[in-house]
Amino acid sequence: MEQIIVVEPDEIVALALKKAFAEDLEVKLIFKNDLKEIYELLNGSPTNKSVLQKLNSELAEIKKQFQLAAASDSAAKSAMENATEILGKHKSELEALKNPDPKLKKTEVETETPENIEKQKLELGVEILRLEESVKGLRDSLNITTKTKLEKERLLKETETSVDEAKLRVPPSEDQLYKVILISNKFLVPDAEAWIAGFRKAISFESNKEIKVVVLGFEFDEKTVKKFLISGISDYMIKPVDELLAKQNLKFLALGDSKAKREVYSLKINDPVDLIFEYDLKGLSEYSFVIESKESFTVNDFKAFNCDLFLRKGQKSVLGKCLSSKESGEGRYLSEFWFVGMDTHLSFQIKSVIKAAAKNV
Amino acid sequence: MFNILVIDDDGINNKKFDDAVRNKPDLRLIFSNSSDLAIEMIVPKKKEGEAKSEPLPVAIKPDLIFIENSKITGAPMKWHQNFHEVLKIAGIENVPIILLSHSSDALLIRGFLAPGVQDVFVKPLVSTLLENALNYYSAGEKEIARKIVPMTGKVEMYYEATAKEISEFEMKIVTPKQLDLDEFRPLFGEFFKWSPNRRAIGRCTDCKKDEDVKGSFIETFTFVGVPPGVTKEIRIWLRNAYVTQKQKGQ
Repeated sequence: MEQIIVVEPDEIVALALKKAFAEDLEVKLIFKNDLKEIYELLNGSPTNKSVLQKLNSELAEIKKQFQLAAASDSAAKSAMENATEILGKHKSELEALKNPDPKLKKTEVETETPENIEKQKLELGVEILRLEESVKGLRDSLNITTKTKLEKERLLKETETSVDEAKLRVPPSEDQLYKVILISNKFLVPDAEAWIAGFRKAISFESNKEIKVVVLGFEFDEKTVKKFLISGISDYMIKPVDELLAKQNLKFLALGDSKAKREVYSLKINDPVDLIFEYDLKGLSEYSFVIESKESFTVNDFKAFNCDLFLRKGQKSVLGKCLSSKESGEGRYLSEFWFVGMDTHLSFQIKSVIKAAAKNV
Repeated sequence: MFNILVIDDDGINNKKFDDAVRNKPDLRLIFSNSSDLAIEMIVPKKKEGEAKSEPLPVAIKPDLIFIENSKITGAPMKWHQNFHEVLKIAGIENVPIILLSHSSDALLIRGFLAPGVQDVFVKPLVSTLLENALNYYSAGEKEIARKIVPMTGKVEMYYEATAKEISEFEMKIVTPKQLDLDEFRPLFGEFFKWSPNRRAIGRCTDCKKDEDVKGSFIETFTFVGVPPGVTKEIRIWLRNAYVTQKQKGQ
């Protein structure tokens, strides 16, 4: 049985929901009015929480240690490579001093006095000995760091496996899992976006992290509804709730993508419908307007638009023909649309808008 | 010379064309009262009873055609197809066609758009708009004289789709645009009789490829934020639509 938490102080709504789910064997409603209690519910039983929390913190510590070991191993590796490179250079310099190439024209080496050359040979020999010693030391320390890194890697894998095993060993019981939370919009303070971020963060119990949020409210104008339709919120229901609609939609969310559960009567139709996308208006002229979008549009394509600035009351849309669509940087496009079917009223309105904008500038 | 064929018998309108080309010697206006006459002008043919020796009138080759909506006879799509065939015979199939309409209703205008139609002008014509359009279509560079003023605001774009199934909870639509699951999208449908502004909000709960139409998707939208009163109205509408469908079927 799937569980839905209802956070709605309005008794009429609670009554309607109880009635809707009265004989439902698949969904159980849990009514709460305190957010603190809800977080306790969502964060699971203390046993589960502590076992997993302990293992997770151990895992985090080992991950940190592994990262440190990997960093020092890579530092040791590069130090050894540097020293080997310098050693190689010195060795070839010494070789050049010992056996100067007779084909080469007179170089500084040949102009040096024999005493100086002997001195340089000696200095290089000493430096080579010192570097050989240092490379040996670095190689030893690299062996140690690589060994430590491999050790930590093994430990990390083992701990990851034991965390997974622990999760399987202590599975959350059914009564600790919640699929949907139905919450009154009054609780969503200061705004829906901030609340949802805080809500998700406060859930530490992994199994409940993906709980679906449905908001309840009285307001049904599109502007208000849109405020709640953000990422992380699955639905917005209007109060007083329609029992059938609430049951259908909540069950659909709680039971997941099981089509069999959504048995509704559908009427076959074949009617035009428009999907509405919102874009930023960037410019307006007497004959055209410019919008910014993440996608480009096909030149000469006709599209219908709605905008407060150039639509009269009662008019639903105005047609535009794409004149150009060019990338403006950062994956965004500026597209210009020419007004199609512009009448004298619209032309006059646009001129007034442009005049007002020019005045403000 | 840039030939503009105007198929319209509206004197006031035609005078606006005259005014628009007054100081443009490169633009020549040719008026026709009907589309049949215009077709004869483009592809002249012998009339009945005319002597074989009689020479055919010289065919005109318009570079731009304006046609009043009422001059389109019969089904618009069929007319456009036939007219396009005529233009093809004359070797001018790419000539832009501009419709002259009495209505500025976008939905009506959308219905007029046919292949080859480049623009729609609403009568009474706006002189500046007409002059600009003539410049735009006649100029080689296709440049419009306009000054774009920076503006901030929101614009909604209507993306055409077809509703295939509807219930009181959800709707299935076919669209060439693939949407993300759980994406909220406002919807507009003339048949949304229950909503005063014909709008609804839907959440995309399913999106799969349409096996029948290549490049199309079948998307399910669950209605969001529907007040109980509206739900009841949808139910009534559904019942009526069902009965009407049944009656039509019988």
